[in-house]
Amino acid sequence: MSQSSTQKQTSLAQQGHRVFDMVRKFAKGAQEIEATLTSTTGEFLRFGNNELGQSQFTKSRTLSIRLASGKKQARTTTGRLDESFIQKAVEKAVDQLKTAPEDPDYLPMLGRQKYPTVNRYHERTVEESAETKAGHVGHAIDLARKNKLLASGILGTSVDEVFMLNTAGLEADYKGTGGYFSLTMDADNGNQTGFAMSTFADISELDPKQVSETALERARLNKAQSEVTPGKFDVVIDPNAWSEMLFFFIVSASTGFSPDFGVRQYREGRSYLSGRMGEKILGDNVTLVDDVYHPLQTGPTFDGEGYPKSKLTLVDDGLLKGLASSRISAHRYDDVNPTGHELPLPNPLGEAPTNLVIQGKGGTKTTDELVGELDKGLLLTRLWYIREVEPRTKTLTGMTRDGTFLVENGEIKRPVKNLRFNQSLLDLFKNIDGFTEPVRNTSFTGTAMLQPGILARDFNFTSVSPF
Amino acid sequence: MPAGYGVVLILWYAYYGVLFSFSLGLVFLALLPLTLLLGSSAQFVKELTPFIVLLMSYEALQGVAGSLTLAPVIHQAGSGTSYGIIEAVQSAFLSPDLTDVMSLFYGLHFPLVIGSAILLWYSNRVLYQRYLYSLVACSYVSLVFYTLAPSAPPWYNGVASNLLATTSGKIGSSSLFSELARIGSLIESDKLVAFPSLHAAYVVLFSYFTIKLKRTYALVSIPIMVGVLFSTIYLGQHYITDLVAGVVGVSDLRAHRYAVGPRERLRQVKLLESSKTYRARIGAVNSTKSLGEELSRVCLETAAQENATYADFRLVNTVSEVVSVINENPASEELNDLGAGIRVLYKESGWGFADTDEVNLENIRETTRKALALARGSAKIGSKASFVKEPVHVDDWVSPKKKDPLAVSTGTKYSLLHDATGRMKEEGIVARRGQIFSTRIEKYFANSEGSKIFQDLTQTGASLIVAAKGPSGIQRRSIQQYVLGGYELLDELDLPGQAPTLTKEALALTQAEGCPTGKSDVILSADQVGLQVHESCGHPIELDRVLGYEANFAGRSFLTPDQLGKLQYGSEHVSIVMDATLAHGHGLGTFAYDDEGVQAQRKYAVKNGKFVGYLMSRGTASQVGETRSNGCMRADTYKLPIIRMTNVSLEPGDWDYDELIEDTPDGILMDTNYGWSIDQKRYNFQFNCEKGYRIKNGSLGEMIRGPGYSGITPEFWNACDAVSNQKSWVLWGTPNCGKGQPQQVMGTGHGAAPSRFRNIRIFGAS
Repeated sequence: MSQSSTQKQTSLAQQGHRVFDMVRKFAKGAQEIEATLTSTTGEFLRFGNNELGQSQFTKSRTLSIRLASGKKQARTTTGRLDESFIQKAVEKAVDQLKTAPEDPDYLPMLGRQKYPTVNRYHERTVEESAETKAGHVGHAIDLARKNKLLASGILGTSVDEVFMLNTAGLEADYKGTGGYFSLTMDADNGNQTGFAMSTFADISELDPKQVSETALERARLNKAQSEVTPGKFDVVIDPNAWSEMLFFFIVSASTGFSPDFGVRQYREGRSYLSGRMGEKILGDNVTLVDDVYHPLQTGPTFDGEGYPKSKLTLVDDGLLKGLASSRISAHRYDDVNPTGHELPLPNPLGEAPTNLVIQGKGGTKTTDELVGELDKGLLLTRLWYIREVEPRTKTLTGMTRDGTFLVENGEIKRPVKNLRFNQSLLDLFKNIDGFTEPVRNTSFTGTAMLQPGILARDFNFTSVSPF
Repeated sequence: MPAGYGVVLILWYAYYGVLFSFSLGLVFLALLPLTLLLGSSAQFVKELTPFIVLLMSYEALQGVAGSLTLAPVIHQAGSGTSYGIIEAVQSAFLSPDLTDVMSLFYGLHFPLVIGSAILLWYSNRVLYQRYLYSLVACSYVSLVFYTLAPSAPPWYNGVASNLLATTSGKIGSSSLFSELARIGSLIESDKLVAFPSLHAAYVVLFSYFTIKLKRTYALVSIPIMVGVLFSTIYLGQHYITDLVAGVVGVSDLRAHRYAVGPRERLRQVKLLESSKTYRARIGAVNSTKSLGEELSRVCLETAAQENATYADFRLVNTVSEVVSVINENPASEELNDLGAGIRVLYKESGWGFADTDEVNLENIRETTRKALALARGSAKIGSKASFVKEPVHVDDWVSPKKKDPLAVSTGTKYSLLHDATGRMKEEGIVARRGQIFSTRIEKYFANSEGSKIFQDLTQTGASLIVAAKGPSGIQRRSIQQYVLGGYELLDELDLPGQAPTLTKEALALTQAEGCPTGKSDVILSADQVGLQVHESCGHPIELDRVLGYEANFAGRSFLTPDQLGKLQYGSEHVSIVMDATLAHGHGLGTFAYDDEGVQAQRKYAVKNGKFVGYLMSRGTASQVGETRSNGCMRADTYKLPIIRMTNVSLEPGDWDYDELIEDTPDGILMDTNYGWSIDQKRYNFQFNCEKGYRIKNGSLGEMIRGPGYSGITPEFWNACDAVSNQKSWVLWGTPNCGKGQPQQVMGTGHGAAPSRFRNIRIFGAS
């Protein structure tokens, strides 16, 4: 078995046209109609306690319909593509349209666009058999057993497809594959533990043995930890360690988890960046761009209303230079051009960068090489449960887990107990001395971000855990 | 082919000039326009032809017996129980009126079979096919008896009176009674075909299949069955033994249902999908239960055929609506999601799960196979899974609500939110955000052990956030609540009424002092205590993470099984229950059965400070010596069920909230959560709140911004010296708990009251 055995005979585009015809038939009285059909299939081999116990195959398709009349809009989404369900969904939207208030930002739907082509679909990822993948998991479990450890984790592959069209003549589609292998090896109720992970678009990029060996090596090192006194430490952060932390770069809790790097929220004063354009918010050696066309990036090249995404520089050499924008912002504010960063409409949150790439200056090194440059400090292999403490300085709190190592004179000396940090993300980005090659972000938030590992000064730890 | 045969047979009747004198023929002719009316005449004719042919050849079937010269079995008068019963029946009940009624029942023989066949064909093709096969099979089996051992009915040799014959002569030809009775007498064209009784066989099949189609049909079909069976005795047409043979023959035929091969099943699946009512049901609004019943049968049969040790099936239909207003911008979305999740255990050692949102029978079959394939793979490297017992439950449950939130118009919700956010417009306010969430979850569960559970849950939630910008940066004030219940929540919350207070507080916070750093006594608001329970008790008592199944993502737990019943988790004031029952309240963790069919229960996790229990599943309970799960398997929509919190609540104490404040000489009150973080074993936590107040000499002092506190779980709960009473106890809803890979989101409930903790590490967050 592989994922491919359930691939649909008809393409998503064919299906999209079929359902769009139905939507049009039922959407009486709506002046404009937009339909977005998405499809996700995934095969996840999930294991824990050296058992492959939660293997899952999942498949879902949704049709999201946006109707507009005058300045009123409504959206309904259905997971069923049978005519009767589509009818129900459309009728519900028509019904909502009647009572919806006018949206002051409403714009007529976008017509046909041209999109640069990107190839993000890799047949091998789809075709790989479950048996082969189970073999990779089996290898990790064997290795753990031999070393009296317990393996747990997940090897997942997925195919995502999007097809969007509207009554103004727009048609946009996307098809991409992805996957990841995340592995923990531990013993003694996690008092001894090691973690490793790898992502891929094409499964042939995956080196499962290397993932297994990294987790094993870290687990072997990480036992009988000693305590260090909390305080400021120079740190090397492994590129896969801080995915969740970086999510808070672009989202704030202060306004109810809404995005920050967009024109609308910036101008309304809702963003933590409001009023700081041109200011130095990060270090000289950091540039932040949004670039959907980067070879490691994922996702469609169009935004929530089908506008083509353009490459955008947000922070240039540490200076806040740009913001994600959209047709709505361009319409609202005379000095703004759309960049293709709208979320699905109606969108009261504002724009969001969707394909961040964090670029460091001064060449790239491996994590090991960065450790080699650390006189005294800590190597962090995984950060966990990050939350915002204060929005203006982007002070975040969180924990280390699955391997925190004391480094002296460029060498790992010993493992230490887990630490809690309270650290401003903006300050951290002013204190970076070295970068690794970027990897794909793997946070549960699903942010498509490319991030390097770093060597940074003065990372602020505030307390220690009993393990 | 059957159609051709039918034509030949009709021509043959016509040739002998009996086609139109044979009243059944008229019945069939009368049925044809009906089928045209039903709109599927071609298919109807095609599929009903074998059936018609069977009935039309009924006489021919039996006629063979009479032409043979074998000696018939003739019961002697006065001998045996069978005779005794008939004699007793006829002598006890004999009356002309009863004879008329019984003749009617007896005459129902064919109309019943015809009527029910049409009904079955129309509603469920699979059942229709089985019905047909059963009728054909029992007819031919009977034919063997008639041919080899013809037997005479009781009246034949005077054992009993032939009331049927006399009646049909007596009533004449004017009434419906007579017409039906005449048909009845026509049927008995050969007299030596009493054993086994096809009257008995057909009427039992009729009854079985109509009840199978819909249980309430039993109200009609069982009395008819009893009537027909009684009529055969009363009218002197059959001995009891004939009836018994007829019924037994039918029951044997039922057994072969399970021997149907996979290809045949797939064909049946396609047949069923072509039924009109099936298609209508898929399209109908309230169809989750009946669709679930239909689909679960295919799933569970497929799993059984492929030797699964255990299988369960869930069909979940979720409709949710979010209506938002952020500053001046409105947005609404309604989401409808229907799908099925199938879980199988193979060789007692490998679990597999597959889900799909294509809920047709063929795909359910394929999805069941996917789950089986994964289970076989897992079985290769798995060890024997334990699975504790749970009684079989067959139940329907609808959660209580006063006002269906999805029936309230989007416009009404927008008006409410515009009203509330409109009242927040003030200088210095940068974000005003209001949201209303309405959800209905219908789920049908069936497992291979026989449980069949339908639940219909309605949940409602709302939140209001205001953010102000001032000297200390952005400060937020908010309220939110989520319940198992209806739109009445919005009346209770009164968002527009709360808006001005929240706005004032947010603005005041931008001017307020920061929280000191150091150690202090703290009193936490009920919502903050609820979240503290969620993070530092709810998560570490999830038995799957304790056993290491979540080590790669959610993490492990400091509450290992060796601590069970021993660890002093908190002070004597701390008792925490896991309670999914409705008696606990309308929480997001309230239900009647969990997602593996275990009944909702109430159990202590912490009793007077001592750690005593876990959140469990059927697959994990035995690992801590339990013989029954306490029902904590829950799934995000139709995804894989995993161990989840239900309502994990701190039991109220005996302090009046006001007395608690008065009793505190020096401390900080912290209210409404802002940030939360805890390590993967749930020891080291840090929380910060939106607002705080200094407590000086038993009364609230000035407001402070961003108060935070941190600690180590057991030390913290052991520092709890007071919990407020029922009056300030609230069952909070947490709608967004994440767990699992791929991640699932779940709503949980947390009852809590304001509580005091001594000598806690505090800090200023903003």
